[in-house]
Amino acid sequence: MESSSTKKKEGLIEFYDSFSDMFEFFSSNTTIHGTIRLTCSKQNKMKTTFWVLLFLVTFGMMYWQFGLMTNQYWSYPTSTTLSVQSNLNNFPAVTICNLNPFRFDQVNGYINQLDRIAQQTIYTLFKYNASFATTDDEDVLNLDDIMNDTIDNPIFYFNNTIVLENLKEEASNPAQRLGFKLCNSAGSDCYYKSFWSGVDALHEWYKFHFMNIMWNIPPLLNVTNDTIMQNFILECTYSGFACNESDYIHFHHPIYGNCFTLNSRGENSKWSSVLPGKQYGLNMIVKTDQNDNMPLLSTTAGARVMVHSPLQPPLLEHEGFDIWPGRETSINIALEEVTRLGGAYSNCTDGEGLKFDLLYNTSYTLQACLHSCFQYQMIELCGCGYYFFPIPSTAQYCNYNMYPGWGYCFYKLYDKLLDRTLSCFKDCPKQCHETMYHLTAGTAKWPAPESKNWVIPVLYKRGGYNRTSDRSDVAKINVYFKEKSLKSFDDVPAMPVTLFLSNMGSQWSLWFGSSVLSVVEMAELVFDVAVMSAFFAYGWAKKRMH
Amino acid sequence: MANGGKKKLTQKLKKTLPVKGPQAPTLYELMQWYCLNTNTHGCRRIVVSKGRLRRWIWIALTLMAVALIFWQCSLLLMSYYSVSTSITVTYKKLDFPAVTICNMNPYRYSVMKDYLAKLDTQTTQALKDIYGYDATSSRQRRDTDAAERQSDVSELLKKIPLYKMERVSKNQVNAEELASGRRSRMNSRMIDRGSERESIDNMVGYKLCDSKNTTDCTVFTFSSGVNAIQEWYRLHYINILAEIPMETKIAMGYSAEELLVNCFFNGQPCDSRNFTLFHHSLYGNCYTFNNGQELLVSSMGGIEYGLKVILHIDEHEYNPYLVTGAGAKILVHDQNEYPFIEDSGTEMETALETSIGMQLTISSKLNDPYSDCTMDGTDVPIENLYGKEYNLQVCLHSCFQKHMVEICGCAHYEHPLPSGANYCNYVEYPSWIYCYFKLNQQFVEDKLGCQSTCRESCNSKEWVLTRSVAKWPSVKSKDWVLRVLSWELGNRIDEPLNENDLAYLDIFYHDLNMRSISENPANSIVTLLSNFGGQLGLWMSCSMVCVLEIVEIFFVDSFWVVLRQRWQKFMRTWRAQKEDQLGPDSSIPVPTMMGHHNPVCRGDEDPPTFNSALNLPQAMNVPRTPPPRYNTLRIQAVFHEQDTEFSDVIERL
Repeated sequence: MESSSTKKKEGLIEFYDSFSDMFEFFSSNTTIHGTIRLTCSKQNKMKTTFWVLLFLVTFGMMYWQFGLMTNQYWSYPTSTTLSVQSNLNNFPAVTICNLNPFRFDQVNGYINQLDRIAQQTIYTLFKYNASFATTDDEDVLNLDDIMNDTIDNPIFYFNNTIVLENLKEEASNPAQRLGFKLCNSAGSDCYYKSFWSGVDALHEWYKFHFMNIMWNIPPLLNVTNDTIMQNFILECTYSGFACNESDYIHFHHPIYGNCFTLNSRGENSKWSSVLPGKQYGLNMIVKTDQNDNMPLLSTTAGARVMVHSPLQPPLLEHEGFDIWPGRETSINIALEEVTRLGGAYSNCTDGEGLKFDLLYNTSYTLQACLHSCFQYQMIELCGCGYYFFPIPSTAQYCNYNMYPGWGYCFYKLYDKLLDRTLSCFKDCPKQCHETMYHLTAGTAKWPAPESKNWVIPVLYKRGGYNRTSDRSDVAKINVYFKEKSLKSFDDVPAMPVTLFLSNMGSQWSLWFGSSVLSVVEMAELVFDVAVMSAFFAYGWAKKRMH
Repeated sequence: MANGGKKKLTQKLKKTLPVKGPQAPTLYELMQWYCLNTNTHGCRRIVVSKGRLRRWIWIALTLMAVALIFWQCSLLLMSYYSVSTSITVTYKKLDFPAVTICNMNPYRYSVMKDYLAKLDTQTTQALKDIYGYDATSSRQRRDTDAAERQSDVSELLKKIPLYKMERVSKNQVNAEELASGRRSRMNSRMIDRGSERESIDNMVGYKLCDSKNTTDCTVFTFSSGVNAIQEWYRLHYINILAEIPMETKIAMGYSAEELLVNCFFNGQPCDSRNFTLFHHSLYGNCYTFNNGQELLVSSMGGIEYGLKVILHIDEHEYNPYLVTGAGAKILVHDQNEYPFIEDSGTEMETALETSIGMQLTISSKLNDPYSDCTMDGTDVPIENLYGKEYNLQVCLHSCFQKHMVEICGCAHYEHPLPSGANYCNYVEYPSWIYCYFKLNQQFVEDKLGCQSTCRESCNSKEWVLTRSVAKWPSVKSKDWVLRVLSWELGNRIDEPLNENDLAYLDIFYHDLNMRSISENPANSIVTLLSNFGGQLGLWMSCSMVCVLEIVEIFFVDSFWVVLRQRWQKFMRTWRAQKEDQLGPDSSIPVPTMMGHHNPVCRGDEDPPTFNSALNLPQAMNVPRTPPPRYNTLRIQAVFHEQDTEFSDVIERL
């Protein structure tokens, strides 16, 4: 019989007596397969050696596999999943422009001068007597009428050295080419901007001078006087409800003219119920003037429409398409969304982490970032900003009165943008969350010949005009969803932490039959070894001292 | 001796068969035994470790591992119903879809003249009064009897008068009734198609009143006269049409020979027999290609193997007030799908060749419990009025029509007729228009609940269309093409053809690649169990057997041990009481050595660990060997029986 009183009371922390004791304890009590063989057949040295080697080799194999897996994990792989849903909850923003910019009173004199020079140029180059007479007073607006603040207009001096001329090329390209010459401020180096066709050449040359003339007038003007709206949008309904003032913002663009963005912020609850079908979409009747105010600046007649996400800037030169006048265009939308993982998985952003501030007052898009980056570089290099991109409040738009060599500087930089050699492409990552609207359109003649007789006068009566019933003055636009379905492509991590741990666990149990707790046992062993060595070293040192 | 043998057998059976409870006298022993003999990692170290701190650390680690297992397994269970989507692109002969073609004008104007005479007169009168536009000179075919106009103020205008308005103050408006010229002041709510409008001047509208409560009126105003006239005209038009029987309507519309001049499919000629008639409420007679029994198949991609049709659109016969656009409308859909042309149709223009390339995508989703879609609509509580395959639009329209019949009492003309209901018209349902407008507003705002009840369909076929146009016929070929086609149409047309009367349509598959998007369950029971096993193994190297072991020890044996302890305690107290009564000299044996002190409780005969397999000494302290106890040499169970009540008394030294 035994009594427990003879048993020594167990201390809080106890260590082993010797290394071999510890090792034997470990081998016989651990749950890692194979360790037992290291101590059980002590007599048979061959067996023990064999098992030691085997143990080490297995250990090596396991760590090799671990290495491969960790490599894979740290490369952050992703895979894309596709899901088709039908919960559309926001109508996109629709921007419509009438492709007919106004002439402003403040700069009309200079534009007339430019037109005269253009007429002379056309006669010189093409032997044709063109005339761009603009005498209709109703087409010339005073800026003060549409805006609240006043803009002062300094004197502008026309630069007669920038002319459109024939450029004789070498034998490599015998065709005659047209272009204009831009020199830097010192006059030492010149850049020839050349074109293949006269239409393009005239258009770019005219636009260049136009940018300089308009330099003091901001390109995107917020129009606060709404009588102008009735001249462009004759009718507008969404899902049967009429559009009212709170639904749209109105601005003027120097090339695209009178522009409206409906549902620009996506906040109005009216636009959040989306039903499929033409009668539940956006239906508009717009006036498409065939009489261009500035024929050399925009050669298209009709309207330009762009469908985009509510908080995105409408960059009409990149997206958007033109509407045929005299037609009913039905545009139906199919929606696709792409979500990318940020952080270590892929280089994307939704506006944070950029080296500079976006110059557009809207959410992040790749184009907005590129434009802002370009503008900052331009301001740094040339001293002033490109007219068709927004500028920060500290800078000015370029014009050759104040910055003589800016054209040279600008085109060199712009070529880099077109070649994708600009550093902006590295600084502007793609969007993490992108919405793409795929549009298909169908057209029918509108108004029909039989209905044209009453529709046109009725439309114009409101505006007080007495135009002839010419079909090509109006266009009808319908924008709607054909089906209420949304395809979304989402990136998911291909190796999340759980999968990584599972794989590691499987490797462990494959080679050693062990689990996480076995690893803790190994850690305990290591700790014990360290402590024991410390004890022995201390004891040995003490013995040495005596 | 048989008797002796039998007795031995029964004795043997008695010994081996009864199931005895766990031999461990206390819970502590039971746990110790379990930890030493289990295969689960971690438990053994609790018992075997030296030092209390180590022991506690191991207890903590083991419990943490158990908690992690539970957590991970619950995560696995929660994500059991997830799907994985796969896209496959296959190349094979594709069935050509059904193509429905309609003329945007429903009935020939010259034939409808009789029905619409009064309505048209009033419309021209309204146009003249509001806009000063006199249309009578261009329409010689209409009656322009001034006397008739004066005396017979049509019931139409009396029922739904047209007003010209100008605002006086916030809620009051000066309105001039167009038919009678009467001016009045109106106090009713102004609704500009649903939203309150601030400034209305020179606007046109009409007033609708609830017939039961004539003070409940709403004036619908339109910012544009075109819209006002068209809506007003359409209201009356629908009423008139609702009274005309179906056969007459079909006869008044365009026939297949009139609409389709020429047809070619997959290199073979086709004719009006390949088209089935389908009467649409707004577009009149529509013709659907390839909707019959035998489905046509496209053998290759490209224009030459698709459908080519020349359509005759007679713009002179268009109703000037009903439709303002001119052309045709087409829709590509599956044979079993109802064509909602007014919602999803593509318009086509005259004097153009419209080429439409198609790409087929088939998608199939999983229904309950993976997602909320419905396989065939039978579990959606809305009755399908269209008689064709279920999809979301069918459900929405049927739901609206059902509410219309319930609330307004009659069915709207633009949707199919449910059983037992009639189409709305003035005579029987005077206030249906007002009811309809209110209902439509509620429908758009989702107050009727249609959008939440209707679920999308799990299977869908989608044709993505790419459209391009070119001028047709070209200037050079115009002469002979028009002449040939005029001759073919023969006596069906009055005048020789003009390029504005024809439209050329090509519909074809770009290529015969079909994309199919399908959802599959990401997890099955097999993967779920594998994942469970993985987690169990990862943290504690536990298996199903070890789980069963835990169940046996923790739920059965420990319960039994506790019960037995209570019973023994009870017996002890009872015996003690009896002893007091009987005296100190009791013959009832009391076991003095219990549990841990009983050397019999030590030692495993055949424990399932490596140590025993290799015949190694036990890891725990080897007890000081007591003198051998010969009576106990035949121990089979691990723990000696402790049941004093039900078995023999323990022999002891």
